[in-house]
Amino acid sequence: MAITFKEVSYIYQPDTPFEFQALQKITTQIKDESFTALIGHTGSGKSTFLQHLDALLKPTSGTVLIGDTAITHETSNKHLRLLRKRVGIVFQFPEKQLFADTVEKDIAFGPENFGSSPEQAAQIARQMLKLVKLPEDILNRSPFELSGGQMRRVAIAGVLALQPEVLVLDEPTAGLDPKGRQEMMHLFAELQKREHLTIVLVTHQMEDVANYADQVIVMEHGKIVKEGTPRYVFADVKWLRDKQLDVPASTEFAFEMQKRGFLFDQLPLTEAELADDIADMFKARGKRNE
Amino acid sequence: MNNVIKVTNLTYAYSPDTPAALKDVSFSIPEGSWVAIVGHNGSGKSTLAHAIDGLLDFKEGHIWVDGIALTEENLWQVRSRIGMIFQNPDNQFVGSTVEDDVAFGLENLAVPHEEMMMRVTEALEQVQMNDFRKKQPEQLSGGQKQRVALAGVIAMQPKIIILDEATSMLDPIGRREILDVIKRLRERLGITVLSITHEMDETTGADQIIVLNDGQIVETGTPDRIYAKSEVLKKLGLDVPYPQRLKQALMQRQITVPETYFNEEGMVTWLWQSLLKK
Repeated sequence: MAITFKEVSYIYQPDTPFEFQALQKITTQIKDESFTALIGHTGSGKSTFLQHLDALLKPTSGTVLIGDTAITHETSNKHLRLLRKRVGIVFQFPEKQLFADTVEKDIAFGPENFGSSPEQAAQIARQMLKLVKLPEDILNRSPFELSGGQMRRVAIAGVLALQPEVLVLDEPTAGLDPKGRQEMMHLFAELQKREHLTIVLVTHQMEDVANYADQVIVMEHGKIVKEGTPRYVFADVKWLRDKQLDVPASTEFAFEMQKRGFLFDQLPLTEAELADDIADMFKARGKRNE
Repeated sequence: MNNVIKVTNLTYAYSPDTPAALKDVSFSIPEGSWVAIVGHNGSGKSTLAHAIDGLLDFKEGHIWVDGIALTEENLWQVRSRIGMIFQNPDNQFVGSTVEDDVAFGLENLAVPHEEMMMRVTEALEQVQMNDFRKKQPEQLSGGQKQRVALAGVIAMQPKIIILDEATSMLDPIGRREILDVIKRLRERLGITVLSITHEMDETTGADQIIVLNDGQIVETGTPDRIYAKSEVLKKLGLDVPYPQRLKQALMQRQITVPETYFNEEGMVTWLWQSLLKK
């Protein structure tokens, strides 16, 4: 499902001394079945943007089109319930929101709320557990006995249980160790393919952006300052550095090589791309020496 | 140099029927140094930090802090020498303003008001948060809150600061801020730092790295020595530094690379010498 922003502005506490404009006339589109990465500093407007994706916030002016439902300042909350089933948001540190005394009840809570029978909901819980690659025997355990990584998977299963079309992930790997991080990102890529999800990922991990995203949106001071493919966005290393944003390690490394006189047709985004480029340079050098 | 922390044969299990979280761990930390303890989640690294701060009741092994044996009688003497910073910036803020928060520990010790204000100001200056002293916690970023937590610890004038994954909930800017502060504290105050992390790129400034796995020390050495062991790091679920990863990718493409560890700059220089130098 696509989500389109048309000149969307959002103002917190308007007409008070604390008035703060968090979004300034944003126009963009999250394409259907895309993997979109949203990057920018704390305070750039990312969270406000996120909350418009399932109408937790309604624009102060402008329109957000979620699928074919238009959300404006005037949309009444009555119509939003079903919409929120179609867009699932996994907030930062989602394991903090676990509450039930068993894993099964925690995951089944959403479906039951949306009208599934307890049996159906339990069935869904079992399926979701498989989807996030947790063993079935934890269903009857307390979520609070699990490891941090497992708890997070349970929380994600709870969001997936509503079978959303769009999955919004707010720094889903924060606090995980490198192995846990990698497993989590693999999981999302797999889910996207299998369930035909549209994914919006907020992250500071530029490696993940390079490896998984097909569209990148860069935000600053409530505006979109750049958007496009990872290759396009990461091409200008200096610009990103000026904005104090990181670039993928391979791009950064190639940028340092450029400074020492190496030439690249385009800056590599991944380790494999850079290694291929360097291998070609070794081959060319070998030929010249023959 | 004096060893400010000494641990010998420490073994600890959270309950009799769970496997030991620490198994026969021994090491020492010289005064004024920065030691990073790395390992994946569940490797025992936080358990170790808690043990040193006297938060665990261990039966096997010994811990000395600043020459004092950690026992029930000496617990408060040991704790007065250690400042701990935990993972979640929001769980550590107890005051209603920045300066109240930093003063909290001193108030508990009944330090006279004038001296207290002086120490609070000094501590806030060390972490460059003096301009924020009247601010409330919700006006601060995660990195700023962690710096305030550090100031609270510094005001108590500890010999040792233990950072238990203190950067893991912060954004990249927040992380850099904390690492910069740690470097400054070591240079200016000579405080011993023990940082517990799973982020390898936060260990480059350390003097020593201790690698924990499954409750045991598997490697100890300088960053260069540890980074060179990319196979071990990979097997333990830890990040391999970028130059090492690139080297491996090049080896897979039949390119002979030197065995010694290179940092990024060294690696670029080696490529330049091999490919561009006339």
